[in-house]
Amino acid sequence: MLQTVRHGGHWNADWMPSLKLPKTEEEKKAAAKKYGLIPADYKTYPDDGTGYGDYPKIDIVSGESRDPHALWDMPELKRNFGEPFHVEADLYTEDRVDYNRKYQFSKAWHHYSFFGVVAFLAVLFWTGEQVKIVDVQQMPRHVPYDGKKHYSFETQPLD
Amino acid sequence: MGQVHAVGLNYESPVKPKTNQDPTFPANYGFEERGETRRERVMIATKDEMIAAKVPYKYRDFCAHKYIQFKACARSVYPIVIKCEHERHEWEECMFEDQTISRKEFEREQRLLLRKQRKERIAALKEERQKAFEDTAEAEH
Repeated sequence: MLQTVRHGGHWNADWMPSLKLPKTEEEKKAAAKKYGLIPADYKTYPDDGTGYGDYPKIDIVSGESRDPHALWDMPELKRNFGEPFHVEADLYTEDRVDYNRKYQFSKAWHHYSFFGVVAFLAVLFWTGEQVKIVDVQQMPRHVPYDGKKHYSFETQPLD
Repeated sequence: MGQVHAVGLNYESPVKPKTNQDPTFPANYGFEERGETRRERVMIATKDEMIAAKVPYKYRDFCAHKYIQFKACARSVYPIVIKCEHERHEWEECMFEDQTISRKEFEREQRLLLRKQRKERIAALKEERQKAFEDTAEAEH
């Protein structure tokens, strides 16, 4: 049993989002200001046990998909000062997942082609197991202690 | 890579014994009339001995006693296992005899099936001839 403790970088208890969601308009405005959003953009994750408190839900724009020729305040992160971080921003950095990448084929096609090739090869392997190219002319080996009597080809006179 | 040694006879037999099942004819069929029986195979290594020696399941057959002796010798002279060539050869000989018995079983099965087929064919021909004879006899009358 492995027990792992993830250290997601430096973490400050003062900066933890509050677990109570803002309900009234003023609370929402205050929360939006706290996170650097305009009140119209402020949305939270649903509060069903998998949410993040009052941390906002913003669109994912991964690091790789951001304009490399624009002038960023922090060119290493391709981020400007004061821009709100996505909750999983450390997953969408330049060296990790690129959520906004567009593929020539849909993701369903990716799955179909991969499992299609695997299934095709599996069928080949299975049929190869059925066909015997070397047909050894011998009956099954004698296995002892299986309730049957096994005889060799030496004869002895009947008693 | 993956070379295959094809072992077989040069002719195609009209009957093919099923090599994944036991023989269909009784083991002593044909021997009783001559006043003989086939000798039963005796297992020398007991079940407990095989378990204690941790013999792999693949080798728990009628040559397990030789396997155990070989492994005991090898263990005593490890890592110079070449010193146990005699024991290893004895084991291999036993396995060869085992395989020979399997092949003889196949040949016996094949010959008995051919014999059965021959008898059926002769009986069918006799029946046909008898029928033809009776038909012509009826026609004459």
